[in-house]
Order: sequence, then C-alpha cells, then structure tokens
Amino acid sequence: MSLVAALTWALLALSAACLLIGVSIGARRALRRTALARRERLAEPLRPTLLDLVGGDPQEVAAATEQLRALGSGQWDAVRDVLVDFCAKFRGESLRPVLAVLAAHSVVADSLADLAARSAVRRGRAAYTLGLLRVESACVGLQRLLGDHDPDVRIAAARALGRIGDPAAANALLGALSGSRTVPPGAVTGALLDLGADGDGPVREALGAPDPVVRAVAVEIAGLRGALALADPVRSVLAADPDPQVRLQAAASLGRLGTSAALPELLAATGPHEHPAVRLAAVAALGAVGHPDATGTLAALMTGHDLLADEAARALVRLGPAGMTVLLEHEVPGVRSPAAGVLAVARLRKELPTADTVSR
Amino acid sequence: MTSDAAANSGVTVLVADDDRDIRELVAVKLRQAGYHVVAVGDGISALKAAGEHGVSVAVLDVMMPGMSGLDVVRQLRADDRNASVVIVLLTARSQEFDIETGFALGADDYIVKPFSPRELVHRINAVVSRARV
Repeated sequence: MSLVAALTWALLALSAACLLIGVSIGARRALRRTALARRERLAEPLRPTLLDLVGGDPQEVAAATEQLRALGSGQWDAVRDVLVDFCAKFRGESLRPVLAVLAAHSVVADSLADLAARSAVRRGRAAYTLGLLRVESACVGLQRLLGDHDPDVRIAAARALGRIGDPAAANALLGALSGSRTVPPGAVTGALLDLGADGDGPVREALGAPDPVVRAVAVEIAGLRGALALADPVRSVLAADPDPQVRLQAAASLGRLGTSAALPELLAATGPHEHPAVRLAAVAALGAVGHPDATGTLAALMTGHDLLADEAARALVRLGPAGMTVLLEHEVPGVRSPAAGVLAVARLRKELPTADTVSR
Repeated sequence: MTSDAAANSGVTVLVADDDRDIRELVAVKLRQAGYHVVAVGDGISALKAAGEHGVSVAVLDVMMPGMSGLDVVRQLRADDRNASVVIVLLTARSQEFDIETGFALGADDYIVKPFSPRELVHRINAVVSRARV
C-alpha cells in the first residue's frame, strides 16, 4: 500500500471514529433529555402533594404523607430528588414529613449503599443526600470518599461532612488538602466553617502543618469564624511563616478578627521587605482593625501613586476622625492623589466629619 | 378564616424567586395566612408586578437571573411611591455582603436559606403588623 493510500485510510478511519463518538454523545444526551422529560411528566401531577407535604395543614400533610409513601418505583423516582432537594431549601418542622417519606422509601439505606457504587454520579448523589439528611452514620464512608478518584465526588463528600457537622471529620477534611487526590481549598473551608468551634482544635494544629495550603486554609478559617482564641497563633503566622500566601491570609484574618493586639505584626508586615501582596493585605487589615496608632504608618505609605498608597488612603478613612485628619492634611486642592480620591468619595457620601470633630 | 387571616386579606405580597419549589411553597404558606400573593420567577417580572399590583410586601430572592434581588430593591426604592413597601430578602446562607448591601439599598429584613416556611410567615406577619401601627 502506498503512503498516500495508507494516509487516506487512516483519515477515513479517524473520521469514522469521530462520527461514531459524536453520534454516541448525541444519543446519550437525547436519552438523558427524554428520561428527564419523562420524570418531569410523572412528577408534575404530584406537585400539589409535594407542596402539601411541606406547607399544608395537618390533614393535608397526613394525606400527602400517605400518598407519597405508597408511590410505586416509577413515580417515586420522579419525585425522590425533589424531596431530597427540599432538605436543601427548607428547614424546621416543615421537613419532618419529608424525612418520614424518605425513610419509608429507604433513601438513607440506599444512599449508604451507594457510597460504594461503581458510578461516580451515584456516589456523589449519595454523598449529597446523606449530607442534606445529616446522617451521622455516613461519616466514615464519606471520609473515605475524600480520597475518591472522582474530584466531584470528593467535593460532595467534603460538603456533606460539613453539613453533618461531626467534629471528628475536621482532621480528615484538612488532610484532604494534600496528596494526589485533593479537595479544593474552598470546599474544605466551607465544610470546616460548618463544623464551627468544634473544629478549632484541628484548625489550631493545622496552623503548623508542613503543607502551606493547609496552613493557609487554617488561617483563613480562624478569621472567617471570628475565632479570637486563635488570634495569637495567627499573629505568629504573620510574623514568621515562610510562605507569602499564608502570611497574606494571616493578615486578612487578623483584619477580620479586628484585634488591636495584632497591631505590631500588621505594622511590621507593611514594611518594604515584605511581599507586595502581603503589604496590601496588612494595610487593609489595619483599616479593618481601626486603631488610631496605625495613622502614622498609613500616612507614610500614601506618598506613592500605587495600589499600596490607594489602600492606605482607604484604610485611613476607616480609622475615623484620626484618619480623616491625616487625609485632609495630605489633600492639596487641584492635585490628584490617593488622599484626594478617597476624600472625594467621602464627600459624595456625606461622610466627611464637620469642622468641630476634625481639627485641621 | 382566622382573625389574623382576615386582617391580612387586604395585603398583597410579591414573591420573587427563580426556584419554583421555593416560590410556590412560600406563595402557598402566605395564602394560607390570608395574604393575596403575586409570585414571579425573575427580577424584571418582580418590578413589573410591583407596579401593577400595588404590593405592600416584597419577598425577594437575592440571586435571580437577569436582574438580581438587590437590583430590584434599588429600583423599588428609587421610586418614592414604593417608600412604604416592606422588603424582605431571601439570601443563601449568611452572605455578609448581600445582607449589608441589601440593608444599605433599603431592604427591611432578610431570611437566610434554608429557611423555615413557618418562620417566614411569622416574620411577614410581624412586619405587616408593625407597618399597621
């Protein structure tokens, strides 16, 4: 066979394969659309019953419960996910009958079994369902799924562990930030926040973890949760952590915590030796803390015409009258400057203090 | 009809949420409480309905396609005729930014999702009672 003929056959084979793949994808999508339309058709007549279950008077709730418990598999498959999703949208006593109907159809048992399903979609859906239903007995299985080969399943497992709220999951969640199969930091942060103060012990330990991603998440959690008990360790992180991303997060968290005890570390972090992003975060945090002792440092940073100078000016506004005094002293009529910029906005917002509260 | 429901019968509540389950359930609960309810699925329809129906209370989801609940608040408050409309925002979890922005724009209250339908009705009853006093 000549080279041209061989290439022609190869091209034809490749085209046939592409066509086959395209047809297969199209067919699967069409089948999925058909299945979805069928489920919607089956579920639509039951919508009033579903609404009665959550929002009806006691007789309506009882009638709806009985009707939904008795559904056959076809109609049940159509409404199952709607009822599970109700648990994400509503809370309180209204959900009691929903949980009863789900239990009658063995949703919890089936979901626990599905944690080991071959299909990643089923594993993910099971994790989602067990998290919404706050099934504590699922925690061990969910922690295993933090190492699943499918990234979406790992995320679903992390979120579910956060919803269930077992503090024993904190270490597993932090551990899922490292290794070959990781969970995105955002998902871990959200789950740890859901654990609340019960997760603070592992978070404190994670401030000294070898992986900077873990340290950054731990520091971020401290700030987002307003965990003042962790303020001192976070100060130490800002002063001494080798990773600039971690130090940046530490500065931001100290700003959220708002503790003036962190002033020395924040002021030091604005110095020229520090990474530019960390300096910016430290300046913003000084504004959030709002202590007048920061005015001198912030005023000195306003001399440039860069992001740092702009941020310093914005921080001075947040310091109240002491900061406004400094800004007004730096304002030169007709000259564009960071001070002029923030003062113009303050004037538009009518936030400029009157003459008897600010001395010029 | 209970006395509360009778008292609420002259009050029109606008419910705007792109989530059908939430929209329909909130409408059902508010109608049970005696309110006249107008339910829509997006922000632009919400503004239109507010203009057409003379609403007293608006329950607005923050995250809606097209025009967000916050934009609806801004537009409602830009018209002096809506000064007395009580605006309650439905927001996912406790997104600080949304809540602060909502209050700054003129919202009166907020409810965090997931929410208790019963609690929502009690809060609407409370704001309507305060407005009557």
